[in-house]
Amino acid sequence: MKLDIEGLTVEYGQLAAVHDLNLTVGHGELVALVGPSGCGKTTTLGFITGFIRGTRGRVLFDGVDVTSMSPQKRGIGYVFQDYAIYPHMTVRENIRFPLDAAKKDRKQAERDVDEIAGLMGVDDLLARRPHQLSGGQRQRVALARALVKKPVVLLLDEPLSNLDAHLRVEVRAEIRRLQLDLKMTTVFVTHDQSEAMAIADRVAVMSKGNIVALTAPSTLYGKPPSLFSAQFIGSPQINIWATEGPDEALARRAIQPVVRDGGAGLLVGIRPEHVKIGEGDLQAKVTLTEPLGRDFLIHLAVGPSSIRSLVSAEQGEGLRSGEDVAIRLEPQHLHFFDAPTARRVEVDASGARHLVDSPQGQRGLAG
Amino acid sequence: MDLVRLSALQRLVRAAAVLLALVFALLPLLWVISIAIRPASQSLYPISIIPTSLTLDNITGVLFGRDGIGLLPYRNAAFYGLSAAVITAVASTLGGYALARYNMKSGEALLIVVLALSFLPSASRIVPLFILFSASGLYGTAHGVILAYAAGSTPLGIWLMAGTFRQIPVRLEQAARIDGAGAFLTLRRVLLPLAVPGILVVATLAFIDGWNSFSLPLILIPKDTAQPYTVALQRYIQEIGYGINWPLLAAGSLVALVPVLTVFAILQRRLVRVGGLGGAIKG
Repeated sequence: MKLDIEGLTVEYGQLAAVHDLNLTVGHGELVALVGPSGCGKTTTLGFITGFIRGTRGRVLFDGVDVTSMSPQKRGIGYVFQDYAIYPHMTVRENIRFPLDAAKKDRKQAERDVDEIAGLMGVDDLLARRPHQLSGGQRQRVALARALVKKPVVLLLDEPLSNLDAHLRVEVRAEIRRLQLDLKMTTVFVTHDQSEAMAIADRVAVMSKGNIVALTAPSTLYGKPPSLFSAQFIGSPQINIWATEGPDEALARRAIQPVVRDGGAGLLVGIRPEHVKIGEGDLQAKVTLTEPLGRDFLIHLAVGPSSIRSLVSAEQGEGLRSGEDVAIRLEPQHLHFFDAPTARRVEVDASGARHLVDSPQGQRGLAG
Repeated sequence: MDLVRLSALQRLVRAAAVLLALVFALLPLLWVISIAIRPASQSLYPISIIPTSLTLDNITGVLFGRDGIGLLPYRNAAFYGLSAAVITAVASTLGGYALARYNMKSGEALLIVVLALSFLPSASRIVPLFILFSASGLYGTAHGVILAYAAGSTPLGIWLMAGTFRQIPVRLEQAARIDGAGAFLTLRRVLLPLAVPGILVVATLAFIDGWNSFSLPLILIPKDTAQPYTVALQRYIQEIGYGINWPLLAAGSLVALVPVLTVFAILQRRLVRVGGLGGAIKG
C-alpha cells in the first residue's frame, strides 16, 4: 500500500509542531523518520493513526483520503515505544485481540495467531502473561499483535529504544527482514540516526516540524542535502568550518583545491574518516586521542580551529597528545553548504557553484 | 523504607499509640461478640470479656425465635446494600472515566464540592430528603432510599474511579483502538478488567453504606416489612420495662457483621491479585 501525507500542519496553540509536511511512502517501502526530540516525528505518526488531528493536511492510503476516518477503522499496525501490551491478557489473547475486534472466525483466528507467533518466535510463550516476559519478548509480542491482522501500513514508534544495546541490533535486523518478506509499507520513527540509516530504504530527517532531507541512507551520508542533515547523520560528527569567522584560515585552505572564487559565503565540511593523518602538507597538533574500539577519534588543532579525525586503532595507538602531525583533507570528500540557506552546494570542475534542491529543505531550517 | 529513623523510645511510644487505637476500635466489637455467644443469663454478670460457657441460642433466637427479628430485615438490608453498590459502581465508573480522560476543570471543581458535602453528617440530609421525597412520590419506597444511598456514595466513588483510570496508561486504549476495537469493546475487554480493583472497592463501600442503613429507611419508609436489621434490632433497645435485651441485640449485631467481614476477606485477596498493571509498560 502507498501512503501519502499532504500538507500536514499540526499546531498546539501558537506553536506549530509540524508545518506543511509532505511525505510519500511507496508500497513495501520502509521510511525512517529521524530527528531530535520535539522535531514532530511522533506527531506525524499520530496523524497517520488518526489520534492527532491536523490543522491542515490529508493522509491517503493508496490514494484514498482517510483523514477523517477513526483510528480503529484504518487497519494500521502500530508498535508503541513501551509496547502497550494488555497486562491482563495472555500473550495469545494479546495477539488475537485485533482478530477478535474484527470478529474473525475463532478457529481461523487461532491459526493466524499460531502462524504469526511462530514467525516472531514467541510460539512457546503464548500461555504466558506480559509480566512474565523479558523486554525483547514483549517487543516481539507487540510486533506480532501489530502484524497479525495484516495491516495496510506498519508504524513503529521508537520500537527499539527500550532494549539493551546488543538486542537492539539483533531485533532491528529481524524487523527489517520481516518487513522485506511481507513487503509491508512501514514508517519507523527513531531519534537514533544510525538505526535509521541501517534499517530504512529512505531516511527522512526531521527538524523543527518539517522534513529537511529525504533520501537513501547512502546519499544522505555521502551527499547530505543540507547542513542540518550533514551534522545530524554520522558519528563522530562531520567537521564544519565557515570561510568567514574564526575558522577562516583553515576553511580557505581546505577549499583551495576545489573552489576558485575564494569561497565567500560558504561552509565547508569533511567527515572525520576523510581527514588523513601522517600525510599531506597541513600541520596540526594532536590535542586528544579517544579509543573507540575499532577506530580512534583524534582531536586536532590547526591554529584556532579544531578538527576531528577518525583513524584506525593501529594508527591511533601511535599518536600522543601534544604531538605535531601532518594531515590531509581529501578534496574529493569535501561538502559545501551555502551559509545563508544552509543548503548543499555542488562545485563543478570550472569552480562554479550550484545550489542543490533539497526536499522542503530550507524552510525547515529557517523556521 | 523507613524515611525517619526512630529511637527506641519513639518506637515504644508509637507501639503504645497503635495498641491504644486498636483497643479503642476492637474492644466494643469483641464485647459484642462475647455477649452474643454466651448464655443469656450471663449477659450482665459476671463482667468478663471471656465467656465461661458458649452457646448459639442467642443467634438462633434472633434469627428464628419467637422474640427474634427473623431473616427479612437482613434480606432488606442486603437488598439496599447490593442495589446501592451496583448503581454506585456503574455511575462511578462512568463518571470516573470521564474525569480521568477528559480535561474537565469544572467537573473536578464540582466533584470537590459534592465530595465535601457528602462528608456532612447524614442526619443533616434527612429533612431535605423527606421534603424532596414527599414532593416527588419517592416517600415510602425502597428505591428512593437506595437512590439516596447511591447518591451519597457516588462522589467518593467517582473520585476513586478517576484515580483508578488515571493509573491505566492511555496507550493501552490507543492500542485497542488501533487494533480495531470500538469504544464498547475497548471498555469491556481492556478498561474494565484493569479497573476491577477500583470497582470492587467502590462497590464494597457503597454496599456497606446500604447494609448499615438506619436513619433513612427509619424515617423515609413507614412500612415495617421494608426495614433493615438496624431498625429491627432497635426494638431490643426500646422495649420499655424490660431494659435493653443485650443477648439478642449482640447476636443480631454479630449476624450483621458476617457479610461485611466476608466481603472484606474476599476483596483483600482480589485486590492483591488483580491489582498490578505489571507488564503493560516496559518496567
